[in-house]
Amino acid sequence: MSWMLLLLLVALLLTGTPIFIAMLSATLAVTWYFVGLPLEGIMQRFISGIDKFSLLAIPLFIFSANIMRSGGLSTRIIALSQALVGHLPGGMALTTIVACMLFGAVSGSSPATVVAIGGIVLPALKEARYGEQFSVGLITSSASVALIIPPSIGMIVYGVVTGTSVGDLFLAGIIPGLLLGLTFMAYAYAYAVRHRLPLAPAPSLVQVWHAFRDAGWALGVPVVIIGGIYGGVFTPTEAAAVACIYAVAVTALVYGEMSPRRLLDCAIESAMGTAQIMILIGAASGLAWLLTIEQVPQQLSGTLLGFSESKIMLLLMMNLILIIAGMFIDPTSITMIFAPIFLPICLAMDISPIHLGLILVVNSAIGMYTPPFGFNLFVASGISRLSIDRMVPGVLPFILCGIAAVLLITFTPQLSLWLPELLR
Amino acid sequence: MKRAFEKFSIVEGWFVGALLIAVTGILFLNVVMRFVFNNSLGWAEEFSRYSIVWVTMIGASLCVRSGAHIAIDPLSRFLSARALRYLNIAVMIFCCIVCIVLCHYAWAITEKIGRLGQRSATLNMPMALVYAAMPVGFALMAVHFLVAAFGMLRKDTA
Repeated sequence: MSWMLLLLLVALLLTGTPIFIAMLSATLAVTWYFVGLPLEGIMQRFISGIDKFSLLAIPLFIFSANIMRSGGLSTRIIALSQALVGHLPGGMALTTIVACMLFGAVSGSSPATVVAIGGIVLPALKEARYGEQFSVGLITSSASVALIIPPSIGMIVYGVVTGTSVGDLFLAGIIPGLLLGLTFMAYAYAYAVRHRLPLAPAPSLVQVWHAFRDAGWALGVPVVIIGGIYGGVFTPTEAAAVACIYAVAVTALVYGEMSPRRLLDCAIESAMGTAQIMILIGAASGLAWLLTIEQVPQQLSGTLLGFSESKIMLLLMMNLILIIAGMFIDPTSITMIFAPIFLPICLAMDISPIHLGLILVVNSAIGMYTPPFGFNLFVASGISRLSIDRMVPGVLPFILCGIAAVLLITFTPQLSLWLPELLR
Repeated sequence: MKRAFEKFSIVEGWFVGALLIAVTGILFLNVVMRFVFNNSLGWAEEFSRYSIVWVTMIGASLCVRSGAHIAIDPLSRFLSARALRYLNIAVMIFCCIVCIVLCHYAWAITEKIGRLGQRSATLNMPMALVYAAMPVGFALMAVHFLVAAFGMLRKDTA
């Protein structure tokens, strides 16, 4: 039965069927043919998968990021990043990475970051004589950091599926997110030195101050989110709503770049972004229900546990499975499907659920820019007109950097657990 | 016909956009109420959850229209342009059929909930109104998939 399900799913995905339709139709067909339970049950799971208060943080964080981008935040964040690191070797590349990390602190989605930062930075990178393939690799990979640095949609989904505190997960993501960004920066620095790219002049202190003042308002968002959740002032969902209102206030009153018409456009765009993710959550809830009835997660985790008793081997296997899955499906579906399988293994092996969440999210972040189907690559091919085949040499070094970082994060739990434990 | 369809999508867009703005406003208001007046809106949570169910289903229909649903295209580099177009048309028709089936079962459960007269805890609203988002959404998606299939078919003959 499970083989039939897998076969159907893969076959449908290969033809280019949208992932939610593939999941729902495979679930329907297998339930109907093999299980014989009423199919309305799947629809019941579908709606109760979406109808959860903690998931409301997803639409609201998407909305706040879109308001920020449309209201002129991206350019100011890039200007600030340039003032900070633009004069170092590889300045424009470092600027891109820092800008992605800063934007990641107001946005939880990495394709959104590709659009917000990539659209502006790509021409600038070209002007600074960076290779096109390198530039696209740089943007698609740095944008994936947004998925790890809080707020993070992947961690909200993981928190809801496993019952782990979203606030703890957010805190746990800070250091691994910075680590991944720093790994990319090290490579970009080496690239610029090796290719002897020209240096930009250092900015004056006044220029740095101006950049800070312009972008500073927007950078209040992460402070509000993390401080608010941790101070016990509000839940992650409410924090997201406050971030939206704050974003409207800053873009309308301080930057003067937000109008009601624009706000409505942002809302429509965000509603579509919401639907894209939430419908996958609904569909994956149906699939997860079928898997649970057939006891697939128990069997799979039993098999994996029987395979090896070494914690290191099991963690390596989980990483391998996640990286491969990440090449084909999106972070939301990966979390929905694999979290219930891996959680019992981790509990048996005395691995913290927060740490597992980080492993899952960082792996799927890498999957976002891994060819052939990384979603960031699709988005970037829209902006740069470089075909995905030709992106491969450019992203490959960044994938290696990502794998190095993910291994470090996997085998050093303190990187993830130190901050949440410190503030507990 | 085509123009009417365009107009309808615009209405869909307004609907989901306005709902999302309303949810944001109400959740924010709830935080303010709690702090300033030490009192919160009991119904804010229910309203927001149900609105997002509707945003998801109608937004998903908009995503079908603009081809924004997440999918992969592994065969695109192996097939000729012509074969690929036929494959895409077949996929669209398949999706349309799946959405009709989903709509059918979604309607069945909505009807059942309606018959049982289930109401929500704080708003005392019929739960069938929430469930109805599913049959409505899948029906709209089926229509959008069909239109997309026809659009591709027409491009083929032109």
